[in-house]
Amino acid sequence: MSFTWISSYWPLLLTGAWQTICLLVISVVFGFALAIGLAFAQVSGGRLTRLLARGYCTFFRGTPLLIQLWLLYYGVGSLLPMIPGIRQSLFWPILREGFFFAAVSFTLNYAAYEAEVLRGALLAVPKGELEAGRAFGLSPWMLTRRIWLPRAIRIALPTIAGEIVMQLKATPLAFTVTVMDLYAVANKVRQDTLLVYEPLLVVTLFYLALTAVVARVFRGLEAQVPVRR
Amino acid sequence: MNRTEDRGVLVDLGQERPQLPANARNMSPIVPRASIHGRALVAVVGYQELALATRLAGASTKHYFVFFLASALLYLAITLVSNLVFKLIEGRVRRGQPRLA
Repeated sequence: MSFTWISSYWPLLLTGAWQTICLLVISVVFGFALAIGLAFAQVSGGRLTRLLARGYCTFFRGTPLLIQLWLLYYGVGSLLPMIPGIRQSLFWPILREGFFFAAVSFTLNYAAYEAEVLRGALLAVPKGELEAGRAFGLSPWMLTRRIWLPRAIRIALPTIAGEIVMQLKATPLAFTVTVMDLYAVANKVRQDTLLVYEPLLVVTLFYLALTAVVARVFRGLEAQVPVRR
Repeated sequence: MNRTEDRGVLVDLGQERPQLPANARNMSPIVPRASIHGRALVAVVGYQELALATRLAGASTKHYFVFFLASALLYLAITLVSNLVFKLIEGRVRRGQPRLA
């Protein structure tokens, strides 16, 4: 065991950790916003929106994340340059990066899983509470915003914590599309120094720490509202 | 042979027959999610299953989009079939019990 390489690789390790955290935060935040829409589309949408949302969730939950990532990065990525003028456009420096495709595919995938969780939670909100809101004359929008959604999110909190940890463990896939995340850093250290276990061990500690942070944050969130059992 | 485990009772289904923990029925929704998810990961270590074959096919023909879409649909088909099988199994282990929401 030798850890002397850390002294020269720690900046790379930190940027790798930063990339991993960025991917996680971007996919969870945008994915959650998308999931709220998808969940409501399934629970209270019309027949067409219900079908579309169901189809979306089935597709993204039914295919491996790696395939979705490669479909975007190689597939869409090879079609994008055919759009005239896109190479000269303002967004090209972002659009050509692997990070962009990783963030988009992780977001879409997370949204599908989260929508399924939220759908169950929305259905699990006690009917009496919604009826009480209606009896007080809340408009449907107000009822959704003040009672239905917050109540559902609270019900889903433990599951959401689990999903975020799953999402964290999915981020190393980004290394297959040239993103320099934590796992890619471990790979690079291995190639440079021929050390196999040490970089993987260090990276594992990073992932463990991130998981612990997520768990701690959600324990705090869950403790905000005392639950009577 | 009715052993009591702390997570459920092992059910004796008769002599010389495979036994399932009694709470296997509560497990059945979880198993499919855990099993299919990681399949494509072996492509990363160079084993030539569907995902890697797709990438090779895409690389040699330059029709990445078509090939990845096709393999996504193949994976989806496998998932749907396995979901169906698990639904049948669940229907059997939950027979006689009230349907879940």
